[in-house]
Amino acid sequence: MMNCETYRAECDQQFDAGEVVILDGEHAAACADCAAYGERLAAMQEALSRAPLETPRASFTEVLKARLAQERAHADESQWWIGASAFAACALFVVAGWYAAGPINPSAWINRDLAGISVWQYVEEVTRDSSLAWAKHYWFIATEPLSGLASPRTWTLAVLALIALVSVNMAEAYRLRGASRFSPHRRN
Amino acid sequence: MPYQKAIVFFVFALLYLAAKAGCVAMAIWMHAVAPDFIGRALTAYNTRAKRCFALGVVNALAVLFLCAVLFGTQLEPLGLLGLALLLSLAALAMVGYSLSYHDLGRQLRDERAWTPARTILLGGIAAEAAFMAPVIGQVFSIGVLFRGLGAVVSAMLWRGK
Repeated sequence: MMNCETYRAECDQQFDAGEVVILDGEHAAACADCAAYGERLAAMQEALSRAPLETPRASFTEVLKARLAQERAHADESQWWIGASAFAACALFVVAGWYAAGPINPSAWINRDLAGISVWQYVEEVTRDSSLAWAKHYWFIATEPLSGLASPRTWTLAVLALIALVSVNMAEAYRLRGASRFSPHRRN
Repeated sequence: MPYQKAIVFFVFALLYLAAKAGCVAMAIWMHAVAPDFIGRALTAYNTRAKRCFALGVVNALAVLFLCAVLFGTQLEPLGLLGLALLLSLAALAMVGYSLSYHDLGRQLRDERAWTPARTILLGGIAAEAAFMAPVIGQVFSIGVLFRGLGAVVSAMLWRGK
């Protein structure tokens, strides 16, 4: 005949496994406390089986997926696109500048007789004239109102702003790495 | 003259729509070529909204101030440095801005099986339409801009390793 401890352990095991708690048995008939314990477990199991399953909100699922994705190893993450984007931006900038320095009509580039003059000489010749002067003119108009900012006090503020910028970003990076180091999901 | 004004207005409206379509296309392209980076930025955007907003405000104001001081020197090398800083800030801000397309698209998608491109496209259309609302749209847009910029900076500072 089992004692109170083994009877309750068996009840607990069945409850954890999601099985129906068996109340019959010699010990339950002899011990009122254990019988009541078994009945409580049975009632709790029945109530749990009737309760509807709570489905998480869509936003919770997305946040969970995003956090799981964040935990993936990024060791093989390709960074080629940064260099390619920078190169493309520079190339676009150079081509746009070259084109803007030249005649508006692109056919003039094709039809021009370049005999005796290289393309680079032609570009230099074109750049020397009004285009660069216009660019400088507009640059002056755009930046002239800011010329009053060039004072020792403003430069001091600029240095302080730079220090604040670097400090804030470094503190954020340190915090993020620290949070990652103590994350329970951190990979070893 | 009214006829010419209508044409000018139409051309500018087309240019505006083309720029907005370019923003949405850039968001789809960025998601395709750098999914890990965008994923990290989106995680920061969704889970650390206030911190990202503060980080974006600090970065944007500090860089704009530095650009203004560099422009104010009237020296070409420093002016070009300021221009490069300003363009970099604009590029980061645009990437951050596109995070709102992901976020709104995700909320529109709910449990539907949309592709990422469709999610970003519909989220981008909805977001840009919302940003065009007078006053409220602009305030919302500025908030999203700073929050997105902070999320991008956060993703750059931490690579998830």
